Amino acid sequence: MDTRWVAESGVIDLYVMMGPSPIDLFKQYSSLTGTTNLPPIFSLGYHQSRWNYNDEADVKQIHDNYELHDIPLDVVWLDIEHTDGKRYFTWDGGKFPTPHDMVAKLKSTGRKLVTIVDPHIKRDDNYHIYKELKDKDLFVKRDGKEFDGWCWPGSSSYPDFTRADMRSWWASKFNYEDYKGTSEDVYTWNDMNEPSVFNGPEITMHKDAVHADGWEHRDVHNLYGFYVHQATSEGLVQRSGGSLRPFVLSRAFYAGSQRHGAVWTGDNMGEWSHLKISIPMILSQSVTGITFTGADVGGFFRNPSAELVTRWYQTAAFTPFYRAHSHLDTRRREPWLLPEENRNIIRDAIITRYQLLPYWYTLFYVNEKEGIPPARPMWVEFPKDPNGFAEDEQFMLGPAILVRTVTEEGATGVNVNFAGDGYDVWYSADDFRRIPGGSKAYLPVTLASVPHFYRGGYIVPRKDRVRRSTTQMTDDPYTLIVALDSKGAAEGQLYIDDYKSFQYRQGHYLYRKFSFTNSVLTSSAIDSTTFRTKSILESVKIVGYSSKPTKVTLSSNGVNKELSFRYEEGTQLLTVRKPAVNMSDDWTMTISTQ
Amino acid sequence: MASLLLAFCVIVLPVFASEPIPRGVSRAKGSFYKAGVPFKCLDGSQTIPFDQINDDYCDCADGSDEPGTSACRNGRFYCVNKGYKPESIPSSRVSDGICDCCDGSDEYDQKVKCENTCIELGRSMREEMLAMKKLVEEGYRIRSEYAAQGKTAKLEKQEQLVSLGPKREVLGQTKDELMLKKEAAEQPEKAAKEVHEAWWKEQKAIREAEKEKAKAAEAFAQLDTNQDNLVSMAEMQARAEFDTNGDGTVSEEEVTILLTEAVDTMDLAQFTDTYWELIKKVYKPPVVEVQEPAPPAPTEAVPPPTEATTGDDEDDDSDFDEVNSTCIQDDFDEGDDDNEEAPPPPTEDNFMPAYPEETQVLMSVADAAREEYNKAEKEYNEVDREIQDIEKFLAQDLGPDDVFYPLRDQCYEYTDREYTYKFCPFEKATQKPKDGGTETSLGTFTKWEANGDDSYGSMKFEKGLHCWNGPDRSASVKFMCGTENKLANGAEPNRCEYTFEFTTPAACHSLPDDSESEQPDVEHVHTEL
Repeated sequence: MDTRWVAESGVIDLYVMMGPSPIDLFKQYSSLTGTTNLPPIFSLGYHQSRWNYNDEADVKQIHDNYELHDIPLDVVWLDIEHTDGKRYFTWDGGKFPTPHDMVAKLKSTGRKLVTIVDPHIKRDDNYHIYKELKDKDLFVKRDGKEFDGWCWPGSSSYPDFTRADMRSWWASKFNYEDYKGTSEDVYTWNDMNEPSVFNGPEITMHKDAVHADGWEHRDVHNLYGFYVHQATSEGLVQRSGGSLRPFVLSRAFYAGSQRHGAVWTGDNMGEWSHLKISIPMILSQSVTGITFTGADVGGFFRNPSAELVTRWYQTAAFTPFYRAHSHLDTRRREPWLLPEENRNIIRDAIITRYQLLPYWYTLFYVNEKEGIPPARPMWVEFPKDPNGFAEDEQFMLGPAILVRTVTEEGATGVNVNFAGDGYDVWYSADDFRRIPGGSKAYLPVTLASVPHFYRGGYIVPRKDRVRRSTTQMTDDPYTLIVALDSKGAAEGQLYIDDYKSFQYRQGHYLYRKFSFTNSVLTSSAIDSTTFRTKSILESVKIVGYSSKPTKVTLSSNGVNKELSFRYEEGTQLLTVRKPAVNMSDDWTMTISTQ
Repeated sequence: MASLLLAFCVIVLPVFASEPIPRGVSRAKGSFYKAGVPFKCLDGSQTIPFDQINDDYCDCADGSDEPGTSACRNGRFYCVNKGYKPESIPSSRVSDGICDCCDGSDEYDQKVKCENTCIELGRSMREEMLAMKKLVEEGYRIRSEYAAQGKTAKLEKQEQLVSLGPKREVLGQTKDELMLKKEAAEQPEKAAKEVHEAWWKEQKAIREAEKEKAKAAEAFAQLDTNQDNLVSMAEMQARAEFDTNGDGTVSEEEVTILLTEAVDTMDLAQFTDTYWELIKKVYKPPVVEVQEPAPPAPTEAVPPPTEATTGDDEDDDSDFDEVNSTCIQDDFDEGDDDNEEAPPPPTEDNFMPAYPEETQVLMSVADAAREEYNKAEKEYNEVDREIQDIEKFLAQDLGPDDVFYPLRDQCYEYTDREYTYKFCPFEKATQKPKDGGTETSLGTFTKWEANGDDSYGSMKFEKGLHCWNGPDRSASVKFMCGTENKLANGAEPNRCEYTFEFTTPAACHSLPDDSESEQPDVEHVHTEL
């Protein structure tokens, strides 16, 4: 293979990672650039954004409609119009006179707010951020003067994020007392941090702008956005005294940006082709370590049809960062504004997302530990299957779920490549129908169809109850989906902690292993830890169990009890009712057939 | 643990009801849940033991077995809310740490302490209902006045229409008759005027020819320097203006080209008839001495200096139409002359003489006929316009009982942080920056739009000023019951799509119904163990 590399400046350091497996590669690459830190669980929920929710009444209306239509939601976002004339860290006092009350309203149902903080600083001596940076001489220079570029506020200067002292100053600005109106329920979005300079070459900063120690912008361009993300993320950690995990979304990113939070695929369009291509975009970012990523649901520009919006919600439910966002000039398209059928289907898609959050959260824990991305191209899980190498329409969510959502307009069916060989088994998520591995099938779909499949041999933890947001799910009980392989075995993990703090780094978490073999399901600790959850096991669904059991018993803490169950012959689904054992405990569930 | 929970949550003992009702079940559905009897899911899908109701595990596909827990994703929890109104909430909100029911019954497990706010809410609801009832009553009273006004106005207009119709017919006949009379008088007038004007045109042509001849003679005299009554080649060559190639001398060739042929000598007749036409373009008359009075008009062979005043159409034939029976003094520009002399008096040369007496008689007859006709036409048009206005008015949809009649020709304003919005029902909606600036159209009235059962729910305004990168501006004004006409709550949910609320007595459709089910639940008292 021949490749050619060109750099704007400097010398290229080349690292060769030897693999041999894709999983090995992720581990090797992340040893160089780091991994995605475990996000607070709310950030894996659903986000509702728009440029812009106009005022406090508008935010309340969004909140109240999600309540009215009983659709789960974790975060409402405010774009640039919430500020006083695009002066970040401020509020437009006319439209947002009482941000604390607004946040309290969101908090009352367990929800959060994200505000945008961009790195271009309006050149206005009456703006405290500008004045302080100017007085401290922390701006990027050009021709010996403060670099002056055009961005949202008009004439702007750009803090020199390559300076460590600048970054700590920036981080300090996120303290609750400095950034008025914020609290631990308010998180941050960094946009335009490439940086965007409307009147600059390629709409970014001039290559000869000068940073600290005389470095020209050409030398540090890729690092600039990275550093903005880093400084903001550190600010969010520091404001809580180091106790709470940050959440920062960034548009610019670079190798290692995963350490500082989420990114998204940028300003896309409400077109079918953009929905389709969002999958390979997200997978490309995932395999290069940037794993907490997603595309704007519905598309940023244009007015998508109700069908496209619906399909987008269905697909994005299986991508790491799940946010609907839209441009100022577009028509509103929040779920309740769509026809009832679409609204209900979107609600179902969002619910599916929330039900799988225990699995997502576990995948992100594994991601932090080992660098393996939650969203994986087929070849990651099936490196020997050449059908998966160029596959852009289906992908794996972790090792256990195959996703082939509909991304075609007016689709009546989808082609699915059920990877693997004769030993592999797949189960349709909607009816647990068994499909052999190493096969291709055309599956008919309706608008409500969200084709995804459980992989035989894996156990997926779910929380099947519907709540308003992740906050109310904390103590909710679990359901285990035990999808048996051709030998009747399966295995899976579950990670639990307090979902928001750094205490898991002090061993305050639960990491459980479930394994099913010879009709016995056991739960055991992977790590010895101190954390206890209030959550219990609500139900176990054993998929592909070939004969009707006579008895199911649970043994935990030396106590045995018999459990009731249901068995469906047709689908070979065995549902065990209410084991009601605490998820922190070791237990064994034995299924008898005579 | 599960059995403990069960004991805690299933036993519900309403004091006045004969049978216990499981938590979260309404009285209406209570009979489906019989203690000790196997429960059939309300969708009929299966039957489960009674002790599996509210046992925090979802057995029924329709969620009907878990009305009092969050186990089913599609269940409903019924709050009794004694003192307030009962409510049905999604059962996913049971035990989620958020107080949804005012009686706190959704958080029965005490994970959070919910204050019972039903009595207070009930009181304020009753106060609100009372206030609303008063408001609607008062609004409805005004609405009746509006309806009466609308009815009166329509009747009045209809009556007017009844009398205006025949009036217009009569005026129309008169107008038509006078039109014929006018045409009859204009025909001889036109013919007589044409005769006079043709004569004048001829006269003018003759005078022009004479003037030209005099100019030629004068030029001849100037050129004939030896006064032999002949202008010779040499005399022509003596004139500098004939040096067409500008070489300082006048060659024979130059003269020959000018005259289009070789000419030795010309007498006055030849000069005038044949060559003057060619020579006059180049010929320069002698400069008039300063102290001499202004030369008479005929001597001015080259017109440019006076073009500003005489170069217009005054001398054209078309001018005749405007010339009346007397000569019209052209409005000579006073500032045009350097000397302070008054403008020259009109001369016969420039103006057509008055029409002959008999023509003037015809003209005044025609003038009188025209005036009469114009008057009749004006009267007819006035009545016609009045009728059209009334018909337009009668065709307008003024709502049930014409209650929106008083809103016509009115405008209402609403000011927010940045703009003052103006709403003129049946006409337009506009926006204007608070600190001045131009008014922007948000659209003109196009139609009523329904809001629920109310087909007069809101007024739609469309085709306002186009938005850059967006649609034409439009506005929707929602009509709500109120005792006064007031515009409020402007918003722009989509770019350049505005919404407003307009309270008006005209939207107070009916008296509030007292016998609604939204009555506080006073009779149902229950206790939980």
